[in-house]
Amino acid sequence: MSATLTMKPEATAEAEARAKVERAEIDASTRLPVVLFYGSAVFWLLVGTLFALLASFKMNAPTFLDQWGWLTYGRVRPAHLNAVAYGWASSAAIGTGLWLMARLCRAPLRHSTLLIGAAIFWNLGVLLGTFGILSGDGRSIEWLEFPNYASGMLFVAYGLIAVWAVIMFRFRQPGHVYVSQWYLLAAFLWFPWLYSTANLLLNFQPIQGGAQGAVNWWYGHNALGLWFTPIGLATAYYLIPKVLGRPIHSYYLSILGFWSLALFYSWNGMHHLIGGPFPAWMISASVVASVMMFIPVVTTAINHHMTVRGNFQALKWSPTLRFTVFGAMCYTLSSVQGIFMAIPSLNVVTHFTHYTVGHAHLGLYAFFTMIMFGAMYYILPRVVGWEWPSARLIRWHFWLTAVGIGMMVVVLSIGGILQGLALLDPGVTFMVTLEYTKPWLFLRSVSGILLTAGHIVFAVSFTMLLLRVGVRKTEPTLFGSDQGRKPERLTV
Amino acid sequence: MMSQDPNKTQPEAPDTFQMDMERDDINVRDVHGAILREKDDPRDGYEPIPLWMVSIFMALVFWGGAYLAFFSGGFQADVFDPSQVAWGAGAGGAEKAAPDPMVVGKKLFTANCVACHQATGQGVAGQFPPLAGSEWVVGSDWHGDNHLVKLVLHGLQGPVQVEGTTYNGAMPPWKQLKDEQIAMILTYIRNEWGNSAPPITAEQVAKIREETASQTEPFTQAQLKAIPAVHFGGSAESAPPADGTDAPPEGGEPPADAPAATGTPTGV
Repeated sequence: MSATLTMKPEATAEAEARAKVERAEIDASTRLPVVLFYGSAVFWLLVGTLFALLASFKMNAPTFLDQWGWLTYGRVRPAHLNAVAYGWASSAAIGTGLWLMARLCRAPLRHSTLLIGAAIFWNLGVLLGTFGILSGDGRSIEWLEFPNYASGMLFVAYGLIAVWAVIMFRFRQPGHVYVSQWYLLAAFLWFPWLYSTANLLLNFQPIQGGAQGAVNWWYGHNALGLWFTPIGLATAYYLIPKVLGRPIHSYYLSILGFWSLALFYSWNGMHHLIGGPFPAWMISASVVASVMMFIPVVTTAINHHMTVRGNFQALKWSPTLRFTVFGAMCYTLSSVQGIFMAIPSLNVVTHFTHYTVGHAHLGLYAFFTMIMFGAMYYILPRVVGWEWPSARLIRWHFWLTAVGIGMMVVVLSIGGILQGLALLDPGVTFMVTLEYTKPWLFLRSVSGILLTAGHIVFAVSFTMLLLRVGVRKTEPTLFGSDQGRKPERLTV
Repeated sequence: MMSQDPNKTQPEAPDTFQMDMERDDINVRDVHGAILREKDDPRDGYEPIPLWMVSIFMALVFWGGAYLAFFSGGFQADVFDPSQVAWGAGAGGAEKAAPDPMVVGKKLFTANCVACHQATGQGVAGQFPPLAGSEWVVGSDWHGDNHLVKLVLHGLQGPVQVEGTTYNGAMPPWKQLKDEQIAMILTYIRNEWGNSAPPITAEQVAKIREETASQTEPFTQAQLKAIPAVHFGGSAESAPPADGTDAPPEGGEPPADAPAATGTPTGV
């Protein structure tokens, strides 16, 4: 451990001790905002999962719960999307982002009032928005279904967070700015820009005609690409070397990955509109930018892989690392899949099918959500001052979610391709194309049940940690630690 | 030195750390176990970017440029088909492909004319005259190109002879159509169903529209006959010779040659 510092031995020991005290102060200062955002994230994860299950069951049995307008498919499905995107994923992203921000700035968190205000506004916004969608107030614009009274609140919350992030960055301790910081600061500034622009042009002062579609997908894709992705990557860039105690493979790859992502991602959205009534250059520019995403994706994948290389046995022990590496690998997988889906000759098959739904879950769940789970497993013991109560619960959580999401992506991909080929065949009627998807949608519901079970296990584990259930442990809760096994080369 | 508080042996949380203690007397036992055991913050390694990666990325960028060159429709706002290569000839939009009158004209014809003249151009026997082979359409004999434009602009009423048959109906005026639309329709009907005659341009329609601005009623055959026939292919004018009772054409040549000449002035 001490070999990483190049000072005199005695100075090294003191510097290490100082660094630890500093971290303890920082972690203590982040406690309330992090727990607030994480707590609301877990709450909305459960709510969003419930809506997801309902929507999925309605695909298997269309008359299920269709008597009451509030629970019809057209409302439950956007309620699911918005509850998980803004309630779960964004809250988890903010919680993780602000802890990382404080840690990387090496400064105790300032102005936590801003963040607590933001957390209240955010939750109020998501609550009102979800309620609005269910009551029939939803806007029929994908990713922006929240009615205006809710999206306004989210924007206020987000504005507070962005201001806070800039202040934190301004008062960081001098020194090298690590790659995670670039992604964090960028994401904290990108998202309010995306969210306000899209809401202004689509909901508050709607622009005319086809341009709405362009703005819609510019936002829809960038919410993933310029908000969730940078936060997810910042987390992976921090946690992987942190848990392993190794330097990140290459600073140059980090730079290339960051700037190529920033350059290409915001052009990607139009590939959702291939074949639509848009000038050819818009679509083609987006196809090219989508293929160019190969550059940041491969760069990041290699940077992460080379950092973990030789230490894969650590995945056997560390929950943080297992979730994070799973997520990082799925980032590569999901992005490469997305690149191929943007190629017009393949897009013609996958467009308007369940394949796209599978792809969205590969990105937002297998990549982003799994990394957020990994981050929570790392951050919460430090912030709360209590170890995770049970390795068995973490193990169940991992396998239920990993198998669940793997199964969902596989069955939706197969079902989607069959559906897409059938839709292209003029000899097949529309009703028959639906028949093809039935068994796969049934399996999707099964995978959804696995995910739901995983989330309940996680929520139980999370609540036990917050309530400090059990005895105080001095050892970390590692996979296998409840079976009396000891990790070989891992101290975390 | 801080005193060993017995309660401190089981620290509650990091926030119990005493901030006021002397900095050089750090008792790390007050720090929570998770922080005690954690490793240093991540650092950067400085491995170079491998050459193979740079090569692949350069190839990708090259592909991207080529793709944009071929499928961007010249970056024009009104090109919607990515496979339409609108770059190369001329500067951007200057060389935009002109609309094909046989395509656009057919659409306009279908929208405005088929009800009477039928998609086959045969009209309806006894009611609506045919366009296929009609001397009115191809501008042969005394039915100059100008007469065709005039009757479409202002309509036609009373008895008319077409291909040896007399029809007595009424064609409404079509002056609400734009010059280029009328030009497209006329060019289309002059080159469909076996017809073959020079195209009518929007400028020609515009000119005649201006000349006949005072016309308020639909034309009659007799009225049209009184107007000298003009063949747009050239400047030749022939006096109305129809029925063989009127004066011979001034050009000295039979006007029947005119349409076949496709643009050659009949009088020269």
